[in-house]
Amino acid sequence: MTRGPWSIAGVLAVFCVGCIGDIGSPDGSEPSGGNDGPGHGVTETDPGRVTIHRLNRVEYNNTVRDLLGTSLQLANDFPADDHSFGFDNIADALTISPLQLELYERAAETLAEEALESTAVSGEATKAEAETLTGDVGSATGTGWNLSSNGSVGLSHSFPADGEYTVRARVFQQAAGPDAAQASLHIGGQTFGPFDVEATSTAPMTIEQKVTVTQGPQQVSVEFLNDYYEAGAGLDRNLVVDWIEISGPPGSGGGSSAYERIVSCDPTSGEACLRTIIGDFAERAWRREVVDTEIDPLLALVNAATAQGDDIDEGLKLAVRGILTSPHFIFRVEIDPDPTSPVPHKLNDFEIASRLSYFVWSSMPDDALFDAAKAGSLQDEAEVAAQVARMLADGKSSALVDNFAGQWLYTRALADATPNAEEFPDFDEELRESMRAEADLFFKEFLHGDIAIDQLLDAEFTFLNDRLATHYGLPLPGSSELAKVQLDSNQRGGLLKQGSLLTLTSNPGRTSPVKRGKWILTQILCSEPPPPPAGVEGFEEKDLENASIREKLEAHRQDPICASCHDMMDPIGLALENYDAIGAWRTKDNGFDVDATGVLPGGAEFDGASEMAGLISKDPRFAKCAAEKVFTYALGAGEGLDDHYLEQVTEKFAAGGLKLNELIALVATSEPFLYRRGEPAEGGKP
Amino acid sequence: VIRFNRATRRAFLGGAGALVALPMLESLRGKKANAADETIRRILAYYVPCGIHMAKWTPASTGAAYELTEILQPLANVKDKLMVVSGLANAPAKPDGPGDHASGTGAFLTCAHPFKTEGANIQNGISMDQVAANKIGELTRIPSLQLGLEGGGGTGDCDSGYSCAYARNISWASATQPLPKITSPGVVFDQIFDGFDPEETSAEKAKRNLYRSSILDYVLADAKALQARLGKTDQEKLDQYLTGVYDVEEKIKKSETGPVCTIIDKPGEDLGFQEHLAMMHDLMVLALQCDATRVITFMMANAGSNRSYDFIGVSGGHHEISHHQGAQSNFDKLTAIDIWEMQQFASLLEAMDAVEESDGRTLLENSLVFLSSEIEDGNSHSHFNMPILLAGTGGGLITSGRHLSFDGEQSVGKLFLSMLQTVGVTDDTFGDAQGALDLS
Repeated sequence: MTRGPWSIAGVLAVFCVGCIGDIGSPDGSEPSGGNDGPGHGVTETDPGRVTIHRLNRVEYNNTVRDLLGTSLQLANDFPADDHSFGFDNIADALTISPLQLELYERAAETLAEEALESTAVSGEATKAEAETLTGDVGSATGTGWNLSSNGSVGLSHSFPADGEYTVRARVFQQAAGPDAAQASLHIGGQTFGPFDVEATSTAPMTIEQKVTVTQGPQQVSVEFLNDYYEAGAGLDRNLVVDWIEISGPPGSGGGSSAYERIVSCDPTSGEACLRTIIGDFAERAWRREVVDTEIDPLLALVNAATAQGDDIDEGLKLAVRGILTSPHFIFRVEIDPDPTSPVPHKLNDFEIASRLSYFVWSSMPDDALFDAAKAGSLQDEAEVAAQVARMLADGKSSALVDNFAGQWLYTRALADATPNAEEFPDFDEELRESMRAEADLFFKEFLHGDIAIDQLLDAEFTFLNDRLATHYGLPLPGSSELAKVQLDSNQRGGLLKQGSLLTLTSNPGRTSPVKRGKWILTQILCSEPPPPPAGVEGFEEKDLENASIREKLEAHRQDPICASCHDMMDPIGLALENYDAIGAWRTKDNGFDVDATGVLPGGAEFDGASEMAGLISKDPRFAKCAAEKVFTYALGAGEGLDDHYLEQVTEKFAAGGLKLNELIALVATSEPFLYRRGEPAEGGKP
Repeated sequence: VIRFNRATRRAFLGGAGALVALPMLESLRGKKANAADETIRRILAYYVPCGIHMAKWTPASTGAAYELTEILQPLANVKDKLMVVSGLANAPAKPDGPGDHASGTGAFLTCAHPFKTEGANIQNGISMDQVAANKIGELTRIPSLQLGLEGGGGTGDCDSGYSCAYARNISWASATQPLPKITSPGVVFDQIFDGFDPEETSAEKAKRNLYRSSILDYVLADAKALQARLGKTDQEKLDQYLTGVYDVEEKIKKSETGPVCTIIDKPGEDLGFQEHLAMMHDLMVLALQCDATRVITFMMANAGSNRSYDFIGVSGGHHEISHHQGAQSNFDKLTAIDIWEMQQFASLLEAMDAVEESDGRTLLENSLVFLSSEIEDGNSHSHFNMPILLAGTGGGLITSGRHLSFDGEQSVGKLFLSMLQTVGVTDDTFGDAQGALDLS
């Protein structure tokens, strides 16, 4: 292992034409005499321009959540967002069809109805998001707790006084079998229900129970009563709990927060108040300051309702619907002083605030960002960096785990993995959720911790619950909730040895060393091998029914056309052959002993996953690849980034010890992120 | 206590239960309802992924006396209303380098050559269904419906440098605008029934439509003002937005005539694959039966789907198996998948054939249903000799119940021109095709 991995790139370039692409080679795009970048005004290099960016489904859901406090996820029913360059937030690829426009219009109606429903909620409310609780079965999901078999999830609540309280829980089912899911509520030893839960994830329902409770700590929980599972047919009924809320006793104050936030004065008091209400809401929804003339037509909508005999609240609903259907809400608008000028200019404060919030939170700016924008302080890069640090510390930065890591590292694809039930009877929804949670929690460490990104591939810790530990053959941590575990063997630890990645890079019935090797080259080194030339086919068993997968792949590499790329992909993938198609450890495959040794084309030898991971993580292309992925996601653009910026950020990232949180701040303070230019009338693409 | 807001109440009306298709109420038909004996013609396109195992698909003889092959056997009940078409090509679908699944899907209904890109410069052609919608779409509240089972998901690139837009959409309103499909049965339901609320009076409905129109008028002015301040590429995005607003305004005008057929229970979400497919079939029949639309496209999966069919005892993924390498074990698996696909297609056709229309024909007879895949064979990725079925008679305008075979060079676009003729399109070119086939 003395010969370094540095030779990988060179050999690859010789044998596998096209593997390298633009990445890792100057490609003629030398910086054209620019200075050292951010903080020094406009350089001669081109910061590019990002096409007007439609909110994608996740961004829409998160934005209305933060704007209105709703838990409706109406965008789940919108058509899927096409992705390009590996991400679904690429502005050029986000189109609007007539159907989509209609769904925006309907969603705005539903949201306005919910937000301005002036129902007084009595009493002070305590709301627990279920993903923060621990159930006796199932696991946490992104937004709740999934009871994947009969059991319950809940909390111990300290009731402040004797009296009547209202317990509400937002729930939905994952439907399967003849019946709807059934739930019961347990409150301080009393049981209520069963409630039929017919609602599904797109429109969860709320179950509610009034109950008289005595002062002091009492258990409050939701129980799933009728699990249904039929492995062969892929049928699996589950109950997902989004949150549990306890309110009361009456007379302790409170109210509908969305209504009170929007309707900040008495709307019947006259036009001045209506203008304030509309203006304040439009400013938050459109993420910028609005001018009086923009309020006029919205006020006309209010008057249109009152002219029909409806009350002011109905009129305000129309204004809210108008604001939420407007292109200023649907799109992230950035205005060039001269839309045809190629001269770069800095974004205004509100545009920067939105770039930051959609990058780190996949959502709208919060009050602190708006305040900073109003104060003009986002023109200062130190303030931008400080905001990024604050935003990463906020829980909403889990959007980077779901959306950035979910797509960079493919974790999202785990949801669509379909291991064959016959070969892998152990694979069920609980295992799938546990794998996903392990990958997510692991990545989160890099956002918040002080660890270098090369540990992404090989680390001495991971996150386990009993289900996953059983699957991995490790000691049980004694909980269904995932906890951080220090590992004393290198059989696990790091992304490459996680069930999640190992499953989603496999075929339904067997492992695919080629897919695994290709994944590492493509996603970790940004050196995607070209697809096989037309007419050349993937290997198959036909002549080698009785051979190990290694022998089959070796036979296939006899063909020099195949070998040019597979000499790179196959050894990397074969290093992971100790893990089956759902990531369980094995020493035999189909009767053959697993041989996880290999040699990279540059001559570097390895034995097993850890040594292979070690070689890959030291490849200089890894840091640049990570920087490129962050840039693509941050800008929502996959082309037009001047390589000069990528080199500059990569250098600083490496010099600072390869910390992911630092990389995020470097990108957020880079010129392509803070500047833009117009588009010359003829052929505007850089 | 279960609480609904207004929108949810609408969604849950009628309570829970299975989807039951009820007969259309003639009296509630839209204003544009035809005279009782006038034939309403429809066009459907049905996409199955990863090609077909042709050796067990193509009938041995041509003409009316042909015998159904092993894969086509499930269609026995509708054989006399079915045409098997062999030997047509979609040559423009051939990709630049690899990427046959994406380019074959992009060109599936366009017979145009999809430009290889992941960026803004997407270029395809208008699709056959949209040519039909441009002709007859104005006769119904919904000009055309795009449906499917798989939305997005997935990661990485879609296929060898082709944008996912090509791999996931078969309907293209123009060379640059794909029309994404609806995968949620609930959204299809809302489309068909237009948010119909049985408790709503006609005055309330009129007011609701007035409010919707006022809001759309407002955003229209807003969007135009914004568009004027933007650069060229951004203006194109606003064009898409504006087109959407105009379309919804048209729909609202048409909705003033009331619901087009009897309301049914709203379907559930989160269905398993097979239930989801059956539900979409039911909704397609309903949409056509109620004359909510006359043009539908449907994708059973996205391009190159690697779905596991272990529920019919086939191990491995579909795409993986389709690279069969001539292995008998893979041929057997592909045959089993293809037979299953034809069983599903047959259930749709039989349901359409069970609907009698006022002109005395069945819904199936009054339709033309095109079925094919993005490639011929999963191993060769060929775009010639495409597997094609054409069900229905286009309201008696074509002679079905036979196997037609061509020389392998003629464009599938000629078949599209023949289909389009039945709905009154008189063009004689489409994609790479010149002149229709004579199917009378």
